Amino acid sequence: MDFEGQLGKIVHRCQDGERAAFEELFEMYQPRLKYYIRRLDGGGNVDDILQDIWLSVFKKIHKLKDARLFPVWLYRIARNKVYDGFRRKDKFVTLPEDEIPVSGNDELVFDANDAENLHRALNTLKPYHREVLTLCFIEQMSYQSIADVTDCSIGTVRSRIFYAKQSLRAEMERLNG
Amino acid sequence: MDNDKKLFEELLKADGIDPAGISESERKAFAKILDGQLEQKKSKPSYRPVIWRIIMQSKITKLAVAAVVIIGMGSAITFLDKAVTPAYAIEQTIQASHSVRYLHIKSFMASISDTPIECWVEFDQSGQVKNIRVNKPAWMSPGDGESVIVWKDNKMQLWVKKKNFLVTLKDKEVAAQILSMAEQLDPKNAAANILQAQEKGDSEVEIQEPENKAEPIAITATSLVENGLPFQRAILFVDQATKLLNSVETYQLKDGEYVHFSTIEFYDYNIPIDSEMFTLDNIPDDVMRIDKTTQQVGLEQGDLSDNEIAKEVIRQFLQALIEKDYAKAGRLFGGVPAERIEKVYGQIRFIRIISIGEPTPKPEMGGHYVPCTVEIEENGKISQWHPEHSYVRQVHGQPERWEITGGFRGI
Repeated sequence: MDFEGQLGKIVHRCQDGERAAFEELFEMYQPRLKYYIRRLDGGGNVDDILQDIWLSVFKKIHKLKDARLFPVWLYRIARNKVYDGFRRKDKFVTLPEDEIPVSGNDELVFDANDAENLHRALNTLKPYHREVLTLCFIEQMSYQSIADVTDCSIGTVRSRIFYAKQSLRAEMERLNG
Repeated sequence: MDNDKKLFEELLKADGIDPAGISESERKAFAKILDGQLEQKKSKPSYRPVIWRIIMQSKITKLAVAAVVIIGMGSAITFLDKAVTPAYAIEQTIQASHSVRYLHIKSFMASISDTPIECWVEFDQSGQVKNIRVNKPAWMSPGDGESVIVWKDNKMQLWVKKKNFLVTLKDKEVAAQILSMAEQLDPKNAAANILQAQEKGDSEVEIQEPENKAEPIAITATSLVENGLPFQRAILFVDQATKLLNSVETYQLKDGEYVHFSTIEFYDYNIPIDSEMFTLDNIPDDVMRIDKTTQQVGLEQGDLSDNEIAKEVIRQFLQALIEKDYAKAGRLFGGVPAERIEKVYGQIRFIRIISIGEPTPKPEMGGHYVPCTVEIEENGKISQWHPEHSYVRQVHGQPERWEITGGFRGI
């Protein structure tokens, strides 16, 4: 059975309230969630946020209709936990900056040997660039899934990944001397 | 192992995370969550509506954050065990608080920053809120940075320092929400909730009155159930001489221990606050001023449905950019001055509107998200632009009109 199928079964078991299934999900996602949260500029205590995320997973997983969407659903919860509460956007005047997508080749391939420098370089990027790349590297998420997690259009995700990879390339070249 | 998976594992290792392992403490913490939740599922019905979430979804969420901790505290202490007899100190605190006209409040979030949210409140002789000022530190809105909100004479002003703009609003709904928030900030209401809680259950309260009169009375309210709040215990410190609240501390239950979450401190009871504090007259001259009380902004809805007007506002805004009619674009964009629009968009040639999609209601934004695509030319390059947060909503104080509220860069 492929990973998606296995994950779907675990999610269904969780929805039935099976304790062991929750433990499997936890084993599977806790390390990568930790990496993701550390990459967001969320402040706060990572362990507390993780605990809140799992509490939400437990409480809401019965509402998840399509088990295949679990990773997107989980990272959305994680993202919301980080940004919620004290870091929400102003509701009176919301004036976020936008970017103009450009066409171009944004291919940039990394292998495991690059990991150390890649990790260091990631930390120098703008938070929203770091976030999309983290989802790319950790979950190999599609652009559409990243758009769903970050609540952006796919065009914005494409644009962000393009610019993020440009910045990453420059930083890695600097690190490599 | 394929390269992607290997890369993923190496990245985690570079961050000191074992990709295949969970620490014992993490496992224990998770087991506790599971135990608690499974147990709760068996024995408890879902709990009552949570004020925390209601507040967080309100239109003045960020303004209300300063109050949330106190509101939450009020909620938490409404779970007091009815078997507990209220101490005299609580009633005296309510009584003493009725004479408060001026108050300065600092709210610290322990895990976030040492910089507090600060509020100054003036009450009228009947105890109703008259004026409020809230200084919001940068950590509350990293994108916007520090800001100040002043509410006076039913008018609200918001000054965002980093972005250098000032918005003035007069709106019944906003006024009602600000008054509601202020009532929650009022320490007498917090104390009153303890007495009301006698009629309810689910928490316990303990009152300690030190013999040394210089030390405060401590009222500890501990929730015994899942309360939906970010903390499970609140301690109110009451001055023994004046019976007024000195401070409130809240605590989260973690791994069986109560960990400090926030502190609210009350200062300068009845020390008159300089009226300058409730104005924003002394801000820099070059601030971008958007006064929605004196100018009509947005577009009149007329016979259009909400969806139709939302699309029409976006269409007219984009068309105005195509025609370089920056004054009109500014009016549609919440009253932003034409010069500001021109400064941001003057170097871009808007060629044509490619599409305007169907609006999606966004209750948390109080309006609709309208997807759109425009062809533009910038620096000799032609590309497509998809504004990320193209939100449209009813104008505060001008409900028959609709405006763009964000999503277009740099304004």
